[in-house]
Amino acid sequence: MAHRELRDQLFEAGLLIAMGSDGLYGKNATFESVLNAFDQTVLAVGANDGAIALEFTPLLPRATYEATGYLRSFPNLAGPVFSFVGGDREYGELVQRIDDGEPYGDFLQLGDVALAPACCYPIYPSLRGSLKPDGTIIEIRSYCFRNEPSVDPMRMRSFRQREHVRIGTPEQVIEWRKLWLERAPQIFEDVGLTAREDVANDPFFGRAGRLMSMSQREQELKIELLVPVFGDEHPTACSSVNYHQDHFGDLFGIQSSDGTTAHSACVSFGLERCAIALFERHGTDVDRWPTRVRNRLWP
Amino acid sequence: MIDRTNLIRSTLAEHGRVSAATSLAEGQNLYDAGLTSHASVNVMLALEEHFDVEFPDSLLTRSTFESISNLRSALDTLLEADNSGRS
Repeated sequence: MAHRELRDQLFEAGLLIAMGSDGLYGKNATFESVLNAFDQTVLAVGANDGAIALEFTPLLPRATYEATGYLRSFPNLAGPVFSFVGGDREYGELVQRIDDGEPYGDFLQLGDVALAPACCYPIYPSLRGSLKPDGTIIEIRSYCFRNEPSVDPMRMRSFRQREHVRIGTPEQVIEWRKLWLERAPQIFEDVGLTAREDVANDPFFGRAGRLMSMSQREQELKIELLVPVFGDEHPTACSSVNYHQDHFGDLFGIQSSDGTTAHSACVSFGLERCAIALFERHGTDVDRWPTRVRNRLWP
Repeated sequence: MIDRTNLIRSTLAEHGRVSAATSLAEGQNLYDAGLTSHASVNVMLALEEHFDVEFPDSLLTRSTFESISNLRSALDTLLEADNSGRS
């Protein structure tokens, strides 16, 4: 099925609502019910891990944003927030430009916040200092922004991620990653989706980015779970398990209890992608989904 | 002419945050010495600017930046190709 075709189907079924810009969509109650049921399924699998549930805003302080290296690695996807800073005279000119349909970007100034591109970013600054001997596990869900307009409904610009994040010694983190590499494919299988595991890389920008991508792949730091929504040849990543090594521990001054720089890893589910994969696989009428799948999602 | 190996060492120290770069053995693993992926990008950009060359895709691997000697042979290959292209 082609990208636009699937999106049209989701529009026609009322599951997604066009907002007039590729990658931004409203969702109806049925869509939200499926998205939340999938999210609850993920949460239930990690329920006995002792994870701390946290909630953050989908906006980051720009200092955190820049420290993570996101702007440097993915400038084309970034969403720093700009606002008007000026007096009455400039305001008059701004309004004139808006009324004339002229560009007004030069009246806006870079502010001190940015749209979060990944839901785990806000937690690292909050962990500065020494961890307990067991390290920590955090579960978090948030809206994320990545500026990649597309007619592919699986590639939204504003979307929700569910993440579980492990921070601790390399041994703790690697063991946890192994656990989720077993759990995650099982979650998809339980709801009737086939997920294939593959080594992947983030879309780092430009030539410098190619070196980053190669390095990430060679070390197998990013494993994606691919679901064949558009056929087996071009499957879509619905989840990924990422090992950051000591990247965030180093940047934000997080140490394990033995004093060494903490390592971290996260498992991430693109919740809209998971919901759309379910609709594509089982149809737009949830009442007619296989009983086994319904019982798993709504136990 | 500044020795290429010394220039690699100073670039690693300045742009790669490998503080021991001036005293490391040429075959020693730079990642073990603290070179990160992000820092290796900085090293690449600095070397490219200094020598006015571009690392081709085939050299954009971890192993190119793994040791001073690997970086040296990558640079030698690049600069020889550059010279023969100009003559």
